[in-house]
Amino acid sequence: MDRISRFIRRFIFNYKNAFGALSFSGYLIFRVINPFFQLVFFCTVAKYVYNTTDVTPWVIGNALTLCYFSAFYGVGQTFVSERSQGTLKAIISAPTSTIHIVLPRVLSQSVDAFVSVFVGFLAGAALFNFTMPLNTLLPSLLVITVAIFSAMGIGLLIGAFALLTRDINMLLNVASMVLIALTGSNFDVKLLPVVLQWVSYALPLTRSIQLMRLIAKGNPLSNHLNLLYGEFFLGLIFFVIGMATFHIIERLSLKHATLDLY
Amino acid sequence: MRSKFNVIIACLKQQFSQSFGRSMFRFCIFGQPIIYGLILGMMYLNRSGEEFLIYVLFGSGIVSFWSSICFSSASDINRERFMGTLESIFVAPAGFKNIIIGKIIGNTFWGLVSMIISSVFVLIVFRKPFTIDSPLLLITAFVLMTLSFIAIALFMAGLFTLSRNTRLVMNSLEHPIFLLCGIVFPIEVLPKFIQPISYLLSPTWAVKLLRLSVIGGHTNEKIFYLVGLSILTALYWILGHLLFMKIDYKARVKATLGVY
Repeated sequence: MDRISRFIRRFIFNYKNAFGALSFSGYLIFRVINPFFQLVFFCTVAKYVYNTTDVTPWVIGNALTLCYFSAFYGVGQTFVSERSQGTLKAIISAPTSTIHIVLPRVLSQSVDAFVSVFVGFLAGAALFNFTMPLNTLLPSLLVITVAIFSAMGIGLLIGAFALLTRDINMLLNVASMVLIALTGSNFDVKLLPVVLQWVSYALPLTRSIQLMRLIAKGNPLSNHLNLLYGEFFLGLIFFVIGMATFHIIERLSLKHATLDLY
Repeated sequence: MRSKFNVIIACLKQQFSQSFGRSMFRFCIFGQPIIYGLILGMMYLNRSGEEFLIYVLFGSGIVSFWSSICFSSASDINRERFMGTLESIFVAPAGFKNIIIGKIIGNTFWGLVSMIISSVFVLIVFRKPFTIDSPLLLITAFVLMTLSFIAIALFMAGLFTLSRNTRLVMNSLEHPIFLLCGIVFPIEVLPKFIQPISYLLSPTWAVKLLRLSVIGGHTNEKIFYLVGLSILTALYWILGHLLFMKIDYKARVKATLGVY
């Protein structure tokens, strides 16, 4: 019980830490208006290019992709922001396991990612008549949850590598744009060269986007569980590699006393 | 006049190297044009060569050009304020506006580089055949568009100096501008009640001109868009100038120029 309350406390602290400094208008712009217009932009291009009034596949693709912001700029900056605030050494030397510090942060950013994705679907519904049958609500929620989990995983992995570079902004921007470009949110990944298709399937969200599009077409989730499992395990792999990378960097920096150097 | 020119050139040179030191700017110049070129190229893959040229090659280039000129130039004021040098360049005998224009032109050079990168990437990767109806109009439209973007950047830099809140608005302007100006699709796709707003923005006219230079059109139509773009550009220059006059007045009366 004590562990749970501690976890909840850390989650609340992390949420306040991440968004407390933002004004209401700031939060509105970064988490509502920007995702809204990004989705409207790509869906309008799709509507024109593919000459269709039904932009459901693009609403789904672009709405799911919106979680990249929380994954990369929230979770991806976890360790770097601790280092810049001078608290990274406190985290490492604390008796609490790093995973217990990282997980509440991931969870708080996941809540935020849900908000962005929800805004995306809302924009789709308001401007492009996007609808999903009521019976697809639960499977869709499950797919969104797994998609966000997977995106947070890659965010954590990038966050660990971010400790090795001073150019964190470049890394995060390239990673987020690659995610928008290669996950099939705007065009079929099969159109890409084979090598880029491999990259696409090694990225989070590609499978979730495919799966949610299938669900929207009326396909039951049970027929495509491989995509859901694939996405979940991909996220898990990213989490494990991310944490392992962080521990390696942690050990190296303890040995060379370079943890706070940047 | 000569000293003014020297100031602009000196600031341009400094900005040219200073901007490149920022990773976000490097991303705008090298990363963004390639990724936008890829996304738009894949989406427009089965459309005509002319549409591909207008909305992918020009579109992805203009997107990056816009980001590098307008947003970077507007953010430069904020950076100067943050570094505590805004007051120094404001009172410098070289002239605040000249320094800002030099910075904007420095960013324009990088914007041109990003356009070239985008064009080369799209041409090499997609190899779509196309024809250009009037290369002369294309060059004219391009020069006018560049001048217009510089004027918008000056106007935005002025707004940014006057109001700290514009920073938030600026961060959310990118996609709405791409949408409103029909940079990657014709504005006729937008609802009718939004289209008049599009015509208040010079990139809309620039894209229309670029389109006419590729697919051809009636001479009167070309003249109409050339004049429209020129008038809007002049209007932005005047507005920018007025804003800088207001900055000069407010900075002296309120003494809050460097307040972050």
